[in-house]
Amino acid sequence: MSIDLKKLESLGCLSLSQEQRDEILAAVQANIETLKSVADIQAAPLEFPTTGNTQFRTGDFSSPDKQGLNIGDDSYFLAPKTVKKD
Amino acid sequence: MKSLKEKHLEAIETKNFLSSKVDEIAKKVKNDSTGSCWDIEQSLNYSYEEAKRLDTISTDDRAKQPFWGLSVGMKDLFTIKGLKTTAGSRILENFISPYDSTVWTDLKSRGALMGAKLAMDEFAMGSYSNTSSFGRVSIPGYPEHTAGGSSGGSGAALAADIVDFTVGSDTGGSVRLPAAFCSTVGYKPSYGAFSRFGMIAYASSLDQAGFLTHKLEDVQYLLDSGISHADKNDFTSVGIVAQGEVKKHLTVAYFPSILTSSGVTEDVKQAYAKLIEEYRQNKDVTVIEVNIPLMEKAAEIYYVIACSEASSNLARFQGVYFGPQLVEQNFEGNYWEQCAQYRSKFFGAEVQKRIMMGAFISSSENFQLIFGKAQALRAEIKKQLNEVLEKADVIVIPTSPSTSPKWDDIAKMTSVQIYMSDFMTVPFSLAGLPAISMPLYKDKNGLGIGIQFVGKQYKDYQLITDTLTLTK
Repeated sequence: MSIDLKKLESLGCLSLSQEQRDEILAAVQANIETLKSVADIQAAPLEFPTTGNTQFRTGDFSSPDKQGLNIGDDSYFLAPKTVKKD
Repeated sequence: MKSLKEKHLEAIETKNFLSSKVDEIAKKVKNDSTGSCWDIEQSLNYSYEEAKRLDTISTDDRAKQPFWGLSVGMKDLFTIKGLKTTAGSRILENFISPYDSTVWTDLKSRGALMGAKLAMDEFAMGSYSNTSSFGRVSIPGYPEHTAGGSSGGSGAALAADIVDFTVGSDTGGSVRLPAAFCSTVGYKPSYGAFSRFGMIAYASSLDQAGFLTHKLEDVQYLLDSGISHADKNDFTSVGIVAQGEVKKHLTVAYFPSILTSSGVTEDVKQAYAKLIEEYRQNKDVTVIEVNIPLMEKAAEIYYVIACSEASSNLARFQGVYFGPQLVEQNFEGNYWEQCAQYRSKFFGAEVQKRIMMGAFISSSENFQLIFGKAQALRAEIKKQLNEVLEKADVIVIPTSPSTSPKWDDIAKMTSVQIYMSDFMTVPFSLAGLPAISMPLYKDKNGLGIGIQFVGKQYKDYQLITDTLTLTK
């Protein structure tokens, strides 16, 4: 996995000055090398958790697909539709 | 030190109490050398106006408002109508908020006086209060040591007793770290316990408002007031019920691997070992050992998710909607080139780093491979921590691998080292669990060592009740 830092600068809508460039790009490169290691961890399944509860807590979201929204997945936002109050 | 409730009750009967309280705050802010307070003149003007209004409230009505007589410091990412809200960034240097955040609305409606706007790392991206565009924050009495981040101003202002309690935000430890370094209580609620409406976003699936107080009972008092509730403006907010039972017997989970970890200092290890030994000697406490190897990778998983979300959230700062207007600047090139020049001019280095990392992870070739994997691992960490909390009432773990480092030492650290030092706080952020940093120990130099107490999601009040039992 190669890292095209110039492309990243463009994707982030940034335009680094020469003095920023040395400091920032070196740190970004080092950090990305570290973060890439996440892909190699074998402890969890590879599936992206898009299934499951896609309902929302409030409002008329009984049919999330109709609303064109599916970001209320519990495993993504960790806030379920209802909370059992103790 | 009096509790918030005692201060509230004492204040009720006194005439013009709050106007003179602002005079005291003004004096303390003037003498403060930590850098904890920002936008001082404007904030004080606002406080005087609010104090005048609050002083006219009748004694009966004062008693109905649990925060009447109390001053609060607000981290500078909570919007307050008519006041500047910068999130520590030059890109928002002159942004005057047209509305109140829900957290502030709830405090204000219960009588709280806004005492100070507090310093923070730029867009809450930092662990050491050193990434702000407007200056760093040190611990009161320790000018060479960081107050911790990103809510450094919230920790230092409380430790300096400028205000009665402070509000911060915690994405990966930003309330707990300053609390540990400044020797205060730091409460990171369950994700969803408080509305994020009006809280400038860093990483939306992790950001949560939090509170710093002198005593744990004060956190209980805050929750008793009903400020945790579902908010129609934030669909992830659910609120929690202020109810917990005092248990006669508690089971505590601890991580023996911390005691042999090379990344943890001896002072912290000794404090942790001492506390666990005390629990072992206590017949009302059962100690169980746990080991979650995946937690060693929690910082990497956290930064994959946080940077991706940050890259998306910060796309709105392009010189059109917020901040100094693009059209008033003399940039060259087409619109996108001008936006890029603008963002690099007004964002600090740390923010730009995280935007680029987020852009890398979010790109089509890496999204499933890295971001998707990180999400799956996040779910796995949450599952494993919840399994531990089925067996134990509370997880106990240090807040930080070290006491507050010196500025000179921070300058020598690489950003990878800084990121990885968050490994004790980020697992619980990823899992959305409530956590409290308690100021239980000091090192030989008098610097604070915080210990975290972590409970089940949405059982914040039970966690506070259990922590009170375990720390009395």
